Amino acid sequence: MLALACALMIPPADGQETNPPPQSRAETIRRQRQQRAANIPAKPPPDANAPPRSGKFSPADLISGGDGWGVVIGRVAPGQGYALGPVYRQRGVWNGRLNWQASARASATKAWSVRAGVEAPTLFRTRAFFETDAFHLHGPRYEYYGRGPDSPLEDYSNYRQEQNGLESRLGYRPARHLRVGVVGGFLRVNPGPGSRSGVAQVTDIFDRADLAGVDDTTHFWRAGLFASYDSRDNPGGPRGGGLYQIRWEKFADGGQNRFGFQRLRFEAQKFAPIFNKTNVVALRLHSTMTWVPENRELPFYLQATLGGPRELRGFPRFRFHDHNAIIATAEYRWRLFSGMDAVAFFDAGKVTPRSADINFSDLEASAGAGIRLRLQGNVFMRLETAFSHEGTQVWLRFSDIFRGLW
Amino acid sequence: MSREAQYRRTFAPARQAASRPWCAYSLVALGALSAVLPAEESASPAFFPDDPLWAEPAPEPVGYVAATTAEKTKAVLKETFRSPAKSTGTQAANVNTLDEVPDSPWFTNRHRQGRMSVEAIAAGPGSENPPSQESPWQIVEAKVEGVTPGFTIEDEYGRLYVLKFDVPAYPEMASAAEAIGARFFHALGYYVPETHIVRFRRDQFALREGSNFELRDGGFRPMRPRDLQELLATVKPGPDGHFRAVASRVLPGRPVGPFRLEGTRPDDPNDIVPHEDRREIRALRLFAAWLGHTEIALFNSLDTVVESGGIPHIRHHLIDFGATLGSGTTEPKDPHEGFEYEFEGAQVLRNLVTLGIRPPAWARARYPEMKSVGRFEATLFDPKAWKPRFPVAAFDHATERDNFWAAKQVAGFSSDEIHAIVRQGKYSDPEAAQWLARCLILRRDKIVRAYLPALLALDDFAVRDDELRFADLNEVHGLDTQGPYHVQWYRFDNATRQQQVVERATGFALPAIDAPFLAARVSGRADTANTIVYVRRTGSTAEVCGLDRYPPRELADRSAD
Repeated sequence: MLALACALMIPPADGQETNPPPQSRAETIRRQRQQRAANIPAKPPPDANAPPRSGKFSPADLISGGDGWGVVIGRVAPGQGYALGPVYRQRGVWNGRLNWQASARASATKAWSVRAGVEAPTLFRTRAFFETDAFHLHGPRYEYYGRGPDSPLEDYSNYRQEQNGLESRLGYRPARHLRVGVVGGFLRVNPGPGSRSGVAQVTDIFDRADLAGVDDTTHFWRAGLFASYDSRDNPGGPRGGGLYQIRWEKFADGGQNRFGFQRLRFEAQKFAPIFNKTNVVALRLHSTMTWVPENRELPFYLQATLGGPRELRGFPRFRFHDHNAIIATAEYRWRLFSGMDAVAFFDAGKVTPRSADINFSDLEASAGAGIRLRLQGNVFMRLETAFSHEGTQVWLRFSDIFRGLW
Repeated sequence: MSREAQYRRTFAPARQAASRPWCAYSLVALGALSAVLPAEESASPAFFPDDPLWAEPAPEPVGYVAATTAEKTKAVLKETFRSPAKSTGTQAANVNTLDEVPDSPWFTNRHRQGRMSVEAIAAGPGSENPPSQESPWQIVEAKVEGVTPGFTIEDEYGRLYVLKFDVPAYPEMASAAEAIGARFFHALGYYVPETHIVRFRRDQFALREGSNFELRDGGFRPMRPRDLQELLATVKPGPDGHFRAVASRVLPGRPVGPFRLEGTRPDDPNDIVPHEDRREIRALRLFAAWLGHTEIALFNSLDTVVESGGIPHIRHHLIDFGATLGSGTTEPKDPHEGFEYEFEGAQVLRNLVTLGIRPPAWARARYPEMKSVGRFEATLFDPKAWKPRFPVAAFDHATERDNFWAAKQVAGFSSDEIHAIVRQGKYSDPEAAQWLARCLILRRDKIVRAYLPALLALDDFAVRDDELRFADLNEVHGLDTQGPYHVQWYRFDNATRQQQVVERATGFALPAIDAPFLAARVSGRADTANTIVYVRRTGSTAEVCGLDRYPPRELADRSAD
């Protein structure tokens, strides 16, 4: 009301000629506007002939996932340390059908990789999809404790892997949430001595006879089938729904006739919301079963494994290796605020030499608690402490706990 | 400092100037002004001949106005950890002498003052201009907005619209919220885009030469037929093959970015009142509470440079109502929205300690199993406790007067009018529309009960037949009366703002004295608020030219004085 004038009136500068009092409310307002207008510097309009905007650059674009050059942050491979490197992405090529990207990254632990991927996510009226990834990876710090559920902690050792690979997936979406398809590819693995200082080499701890493939560079061909049903409400940080997936693959070495096996992986994730999805009970069951023919072997570096930031979190990474593994996880997550959840969890699992031994007896267990940070609903960081009879582990990770679609 | 103390500090000069300490805030404020004004300006009368001003004068022309940009992610992070502001008790600075908001490029008095017809309310800002479907729509631009496509199209009459779709998992939810929210805010007085629910077949689109496809980084490339195919594959047509979308007509003028809810726009000469002191901005909290517009704090606004009478000036619009009602645009509202800010330290600690086992009441709210509604309810709704997602200083500064004014606007919507607007959401499920309308009516009633009795709920003061008349909002809205009402008349000096009691003038009839200005102190029961009404006599006519409303505690203040 009259206070309008109060907000606007500014005393004139010394020596400035004063105006007669305003005679109306409208005049009072007009005077204030004119006074303000006199203090606004004139700004010329931009050149009308200037070329149109083609995307304004800001440093945030580098990690935003946009087209062109960017920065990729993440791991080279599990346990190899955080890595950083350039990435080039282009989407919508070939009349909008294809996306592709190429990246390189390296970590302070001297792990590095280069990758190139192509995807066509919407083939055949968007029902079909095709993805392929080629990579070279140098991981010098893989941990190994020996095979079997009773492998002693003292047998801590390490080794190096160099991998060249190509993996392709061709899939179809017959119904909402459902994907089925085939997978195929090539993998070349060259193991060698690890670079963890003060840690024994695998060959110093174990008999070479127990380390199938340790002295060979082996080529594998792989082919298989997969199916998944994904009804999670938000794959980046689900609070409801579930993910159920199964994948069968056959591996054969490239002419050596020494290595070969079939592997079946199954995973079920279920998210049960309570209190309007502020709290969630998350359950996960994951099993890996491997069948090795009598005249073939399973390389030690392709054994199923447990332990680390995703599975049996109270144990060191790659703590257990064997042909088969089963892990069950239960988490209770509750909301602290929209950007952060707290979590209490319990993991139980084991590795077994025979797939027939996959059951829920004699499980290793760990429990813990932590926090999850969310941005726009997606978990982007988690900090967890887990306890087991072998000690305490603290994990800081920049991804959600459960894996997404394979 | 207590709020009362703040009043004293702010208005002390006027209290000295006025013979009665209950002098109107406005007059007091003007008196305070005299301390900083040149003598001739401080000599301004309390009421000018053009008071009460119902429309701001024609704007000053703007020069070139550069568009402001807003980075949403950065802003969300910043706003999340902003602390709520402490109320200063400062009254809104852009109201007229009747404590109403004059028409301006921010606001136009529509329903509350002019009583729009039900048809006009339902029509919103322009239901006569939906995009014509006689000829295909030419796609001007397309992009992916989150998980759904967004198109800018041109119809055969050259009118531009922005088309937005619902996510397949929540059909009708965001589009209906957009259509309904726009109509409510339009009737409340704000500038909003024309918004229409449209249904069309795939062949309604035509890709014209020069169409742009917006990339994620904000750049553009030429749009291809396959882009259209892929964009439409992400949305779901109905069983009859028709798509449903909401079409918002592109606003007139050149867009120059969103307006902020505090401060002023430095390149706008007409923006002379800090936004946090604008009544219509402060009142947005209550309107947003009513309509569940929790996103009100962030960028859901747009300034455009328009011309009126050949004068270029900035008009301020509210846009994007897809996050009103129970909709969170791509999914239902997060259940905490409206109840908690995104971050509240004390609440975080409480949640941590209780392990989530004793969740807040909102976590137990019950919502209907209707995907088109999302999360919207009225049982737990508390208008005084309602919060947007992020603290807004303007909302925290709102006074009883601001909230009273806002509540009056909300109360101005009849149940039939609410039903009529909700029908414009064009829900396929009549139950959804019923639920929403029922919730809005219940929420309206809660707002009315919470804020009208805070002041003396009398309004529409007028002088008829030499008597002071008014509407008792308590009666109109079924509240307990604050009466019986008493009047004490004063002679009022417009130049000095001094008042003098008129003896034995305690009825509603104007005292038969020779005075160009009168003031009437209208009070209810001893514990209720009171209002000062100013009457101006010009010749044989008398008219109400101003009023001031006081909460009950101001009575105590006056007694102390």
